Amino acid sequence: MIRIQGLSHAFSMGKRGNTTRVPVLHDIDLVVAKEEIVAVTGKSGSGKSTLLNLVGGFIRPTSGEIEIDGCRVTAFGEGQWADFRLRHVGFVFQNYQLIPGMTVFENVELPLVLRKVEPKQRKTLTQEMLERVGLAKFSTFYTGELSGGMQQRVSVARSLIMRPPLILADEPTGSLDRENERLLLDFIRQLNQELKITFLIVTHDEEVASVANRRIHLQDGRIHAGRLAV
Amino acid sequence: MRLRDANRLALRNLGKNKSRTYMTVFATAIGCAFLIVLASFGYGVQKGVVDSIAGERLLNQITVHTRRVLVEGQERHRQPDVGDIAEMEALPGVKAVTRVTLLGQSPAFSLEAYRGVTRVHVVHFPAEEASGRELYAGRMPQAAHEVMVGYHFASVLKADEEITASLAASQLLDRELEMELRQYFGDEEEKTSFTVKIVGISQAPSREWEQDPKVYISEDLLHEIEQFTQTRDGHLLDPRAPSELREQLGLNGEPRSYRVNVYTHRVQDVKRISEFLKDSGYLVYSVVNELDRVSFYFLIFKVGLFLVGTIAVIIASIGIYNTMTMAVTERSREIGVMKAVGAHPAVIRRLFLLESSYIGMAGALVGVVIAYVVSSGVNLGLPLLFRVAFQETVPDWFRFSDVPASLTIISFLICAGIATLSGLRPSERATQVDVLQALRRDL
Repeated sequence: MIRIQGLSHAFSMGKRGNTTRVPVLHDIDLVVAKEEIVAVTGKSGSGKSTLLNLVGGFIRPTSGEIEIDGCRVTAFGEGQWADFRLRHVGFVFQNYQLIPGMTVFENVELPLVLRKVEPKQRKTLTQEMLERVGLAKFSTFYTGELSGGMQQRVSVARSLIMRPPLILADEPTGSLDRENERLLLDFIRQLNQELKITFLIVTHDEEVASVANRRIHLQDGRIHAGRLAV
Repeated sequence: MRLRDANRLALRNLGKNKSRTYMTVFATAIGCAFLIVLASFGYGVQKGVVDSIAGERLLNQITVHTRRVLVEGQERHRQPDVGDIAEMEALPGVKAVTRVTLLGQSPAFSLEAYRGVTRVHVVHFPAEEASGRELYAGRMPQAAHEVMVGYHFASVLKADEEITASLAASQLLDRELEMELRQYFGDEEEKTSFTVKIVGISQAPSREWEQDPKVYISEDLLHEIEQFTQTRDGHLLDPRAPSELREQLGLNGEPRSYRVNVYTHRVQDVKRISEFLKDSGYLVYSVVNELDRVSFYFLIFKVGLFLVGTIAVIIASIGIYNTMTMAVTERSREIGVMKAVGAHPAVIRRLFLLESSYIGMAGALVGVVIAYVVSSGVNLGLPLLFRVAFQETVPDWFRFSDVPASLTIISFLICAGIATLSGLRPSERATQVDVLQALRRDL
């Protein structure tokens, strides 16, 4: 599903004319198989979020290659990335990243709107998805009216609505209490088994990492040798 | 994203900050209204000048004076003949070709006790009818001995001394008229009378000072008159007239010539047909050609007014630019989320362009309404102001401000266009929003 080769990244710091390159990732090689749940763990600043952002196409690597589902995504332009994300990649963020002016229904429906799906079909698919995440009753609510756990479920529903083969999750339980965390992890397991979705989860939480089939530990921008499982 | 969904989203985004949207629409409306009102003065003055030139003259009329011909290598001008008329009638876009021949003498007319002398025009009544000539009363003559008289014909007829009353135009209809013609045969003067029936009365001339006391007869009656006078067009020949003139005016002399007017189906055809006739050697005149020159000067004047007015719209568009730039800054997190879930940069650009064009169109619409109100107010109020402040009376027909549909459409397009353009840069900025930076922002 994901093939990463020689991936390195460095951020430019400082003002124009006086910039310093700060390396974050060094020569990462990694393969994530289909239907696998891989947890990327590591301390703060280890480069795990940068790795996820590189795989999600939000930043361009300094060097190295990334392939997702056989596509060399590092060669993509912004437009190609947009199309690719819409069809192949779902995102779950720590702070949900829902649009506050939209209802629960509209937030979940958004990828279908962008994909130009017929309104009637959109309605059916969105309702089905809301029922699946247990939020059908709250479809007309604005996201600010929901609890953190419910908002994260809306975020998951939005990421699933296009049935992407890959979901990238950045600290998905970071803003949730223990009960909601447990519910979300069960849901991830269920989606992986039922819909055969591959998950790449960035977390520093052992509980979350325990849901994964495999763990990748990052330390100072490198995959820690002791836990490497390529 | 479908256009319908984009419209829905754009409208909802505009509704998020209603007061800011309303103020921007209002600023655009003022700019648009200023543009229309300013240009409307140009249109108003032009309309006044054009109306005074054109008066009641028909805009689709082309007067054909003479035709340039080569006679023995020399350029001469002659009046159009039957062949020329047939040529003109065959031109595409021509509605009718009217022709007038003046009777060679002014006959004496008598209607019961009334008598008078007036000129006679020989006309082709079917062509007159086809040209759209309107009558004051009655109908166009159809038979040889039916005639039409001018609106002022009654004033020509003088009663005998003992009868003091005079005839009104309306009293002439369906009355029989005696037309007396003269001719010299040798030294002898002979007279003959034709009894004709008045079946139509021509419309009064548009200008107050013009009089139309003429009698209009058909070509069939002219032929009868010519049989009596033995001259072309019924000319009265003095016994002392030279034989050369007698030959020229004889029935076998030069062909009959006409005063010709060409009427087109549409005013737009006048220019094309005029140009064709000019190229064919005719000397022509039409009000439209005269108006073209005037219109050219007014066009320059109006372009100047449009340019000044457009500056106001451009100033208003700065407001739209600011509004859209603020909207991009405020909604950068939303843009980031949309990009993260797969929104193409073109979708983001379209959403913001739609918003700016909606502001522009709403502003232009409100501006048009304001402009109509101001224009009506100016036309009502300025004559009053002139009377009170300058003791000057503005003619009733004069309009200070005129807002034709073309001005409304042009102004609307300028406003909506500039407004949309002012949203270009903000919408481009929206596409460049960095997803990671945007997602880190808190609302």
